[in-house]
Amino acid sequence: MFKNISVIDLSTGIAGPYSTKILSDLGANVIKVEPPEGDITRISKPFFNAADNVNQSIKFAFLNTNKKSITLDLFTPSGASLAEDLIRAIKPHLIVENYGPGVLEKSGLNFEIIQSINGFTSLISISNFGSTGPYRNYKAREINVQAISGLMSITGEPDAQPLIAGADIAQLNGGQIAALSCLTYIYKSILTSVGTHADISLMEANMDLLENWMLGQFQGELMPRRGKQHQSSFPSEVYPCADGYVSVNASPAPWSEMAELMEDTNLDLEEYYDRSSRPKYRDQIEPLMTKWLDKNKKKEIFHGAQKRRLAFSYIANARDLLESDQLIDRNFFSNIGVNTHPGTPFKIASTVTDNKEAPGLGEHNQEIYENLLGIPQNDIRSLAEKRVI
Amino acid sequence: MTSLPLAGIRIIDLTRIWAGPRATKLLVDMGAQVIKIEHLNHADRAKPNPTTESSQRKMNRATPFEQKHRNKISFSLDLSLDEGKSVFRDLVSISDVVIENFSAGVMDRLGLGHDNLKKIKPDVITVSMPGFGNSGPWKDYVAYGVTQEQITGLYELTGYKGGLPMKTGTNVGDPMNATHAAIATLSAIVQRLQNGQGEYVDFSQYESFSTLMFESIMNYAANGILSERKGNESNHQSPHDTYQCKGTDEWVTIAISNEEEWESLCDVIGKADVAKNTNYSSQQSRHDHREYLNDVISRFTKSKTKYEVMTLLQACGVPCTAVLNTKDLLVDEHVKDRNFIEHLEHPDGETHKYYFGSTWREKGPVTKAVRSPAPLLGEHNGYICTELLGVPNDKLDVLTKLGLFATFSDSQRF
Repeated sequence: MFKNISVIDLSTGIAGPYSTKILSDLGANVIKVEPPEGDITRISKPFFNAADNVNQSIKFAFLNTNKKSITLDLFTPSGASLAEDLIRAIKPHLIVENYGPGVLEKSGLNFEIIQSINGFTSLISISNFGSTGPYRNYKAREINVQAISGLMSITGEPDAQPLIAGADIAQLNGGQIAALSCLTYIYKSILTSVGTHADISLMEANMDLLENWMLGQFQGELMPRRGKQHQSSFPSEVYPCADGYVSVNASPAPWSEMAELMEDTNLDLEEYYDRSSRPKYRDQIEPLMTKWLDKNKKKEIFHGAQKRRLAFSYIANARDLLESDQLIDRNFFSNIGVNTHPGTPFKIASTVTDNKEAPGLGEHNQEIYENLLGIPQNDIRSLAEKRVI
Repeated sequence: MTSLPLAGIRIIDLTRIWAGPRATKLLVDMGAQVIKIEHLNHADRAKPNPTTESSQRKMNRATPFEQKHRNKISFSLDLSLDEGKSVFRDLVSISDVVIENFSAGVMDRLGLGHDNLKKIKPDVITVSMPGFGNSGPWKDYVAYGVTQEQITGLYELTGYKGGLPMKTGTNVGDPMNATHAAIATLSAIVQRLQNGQGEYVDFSQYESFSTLMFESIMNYAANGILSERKGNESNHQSPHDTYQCKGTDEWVTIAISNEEEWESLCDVIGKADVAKNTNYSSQQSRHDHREYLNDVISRFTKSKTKYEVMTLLQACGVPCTAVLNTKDLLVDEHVKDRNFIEHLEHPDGETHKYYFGSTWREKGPVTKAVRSPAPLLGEHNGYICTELLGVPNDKLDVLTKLGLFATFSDSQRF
């Protein structure tokens, strides 16, 4: 159903490719247009096989499933006109790019030209700071975006340095927002045949992750870095256990379930039952709890608690996810090529089941340039010699 | 004024807390009509006291509820009564999407699961987003805000080197799952445009966030390597850290990924000799000597404000940003220049100071993302019953007397 939807994807890195992966995994025809040296992520660590790092990047393999790859250097004399031919032939609903403000335009291609070729094509421009404003040309990597959008100021211990989140949160979140804009303009384009130029700023997309906490700040308070400091309810925090860490949360079930879970009648005192006065008894309750937690393993604690409707969780690592009976039961993982991939964030009927591995660099040059655009083989060879493709 | 891109889509929103309401916030901002259904006794917000309109408005303003419910309309409807279910079904018959984040099975027990709704509206899209999905051995498990980053491995990888695992300050699990849920909803809408079919989206927040942990999952699956907490260090860049600046708790981040940036950095901090030193000429060697080099950089950054350091380094092409805190964000010149923070005058005449604008924008003149404030409980009951559903007045009186649409001002009576 998404087969009728085509995308020319000029983006590289993480945010742009994640947005178009969401579309290609739904069956959209995504043509990834790479510079002749390839998307930088192709050589990004970690690799599947440390000894051979050509086309072995784990990030690239995940972010580019079900796409086709062609090479094209837009910034050569014939680059932009070749891109225009591609737009004419593919008639894409979307063109996605992340060159940075004003850079695409330097190639000779811009939204007005795209519109004159195909009125219904939208241009999704992703950049670190958006296309306007004093920081628009600033350079930024993952940590720089997490910093300037406010995320780092509240992550970490109060008396130590601000801390980055342990995954590429800023870029992936930007990619999610870009995907949402892609779908918005696909919808609009199908209904009205009108294309739109969208301006996505990773900084704004990431500031927006703070929405739940900003109202107090709007009233002049500063949200501190709180580290693992607990909140007003007790117990509601992370404790070590026999083989790792668990998060203890004595709700929504009544307190008596905690005492039964931990098989300790000393915990089953009436004064501990009331949630609001319980923090007063922290010094009595905590040693009893930690004594039991120290003897038990994280998954047993988690399942035992959840069976009593106590919202515990445990601190999982990648192995725990791959072994999770819940994820396995719901067929979350799939094998694409020889590698195991986590599944899509959701499944609908359009979700691709015959997944294709991320393409090799220029794997579809012949299919697109020769078969679709009808460029003679000799001309393709000469374009390749000039490093246009 | 041109209409917003998602104008014409109607979404019935039963979600609560954060992930669900944010998913529909992302869609309402782009023009979908979102009808938030709450019941007096189970409202997704605290009860104001007294219950006058102005106190309700004030209470909204002081809570995160406002931020996530701007532009939405509110319908207070008691789904536990048969009459309430009947009104709900009528509303479904003229809507496109029903979205909820109750525990697994709640909608089925109410007789309002997808199969039942399909009988009323054959092409309805139902999005169900419990913590762990609607099937599998964990389907009845309870998950709260921070659970997702704990149980999917982000928490394990966040923290100082050799220290304890840590949460992200904002609990990214909720808002990022929200965006995936909004994407799922809109994907089903686009799919329906093409094939005319409705869809049941069994959205597991556990799966949604696990997808984002792809790098560590695939690295373990392929290589048996479990990633470790490494503070602010990076696989790709060195130097890569936060550096203290003038003032209390003031910092910048710097991330160097090639020799050119390294030389520029050394130039700006007046250490051309360090740039020439071949001991530090590769990513790996800089990583190996990071303690010394971080010290050299800090000596420079400590003498300047974070904004001064950012401006100086960016002028020379070095990726450096200030660590902005929640106060800085409100006065930052870039944020201001892009009008990302908006103000809105409420119907009671008071201006609510700040909202975040749209999470993305269209090129051209800036339009406001915030069109109306978060609704009062049941503020749009009349519009929904009379204009949308055409409930005759006499029937409306009967239903109202039952307490079907009770709002805060009725809280003494029902």
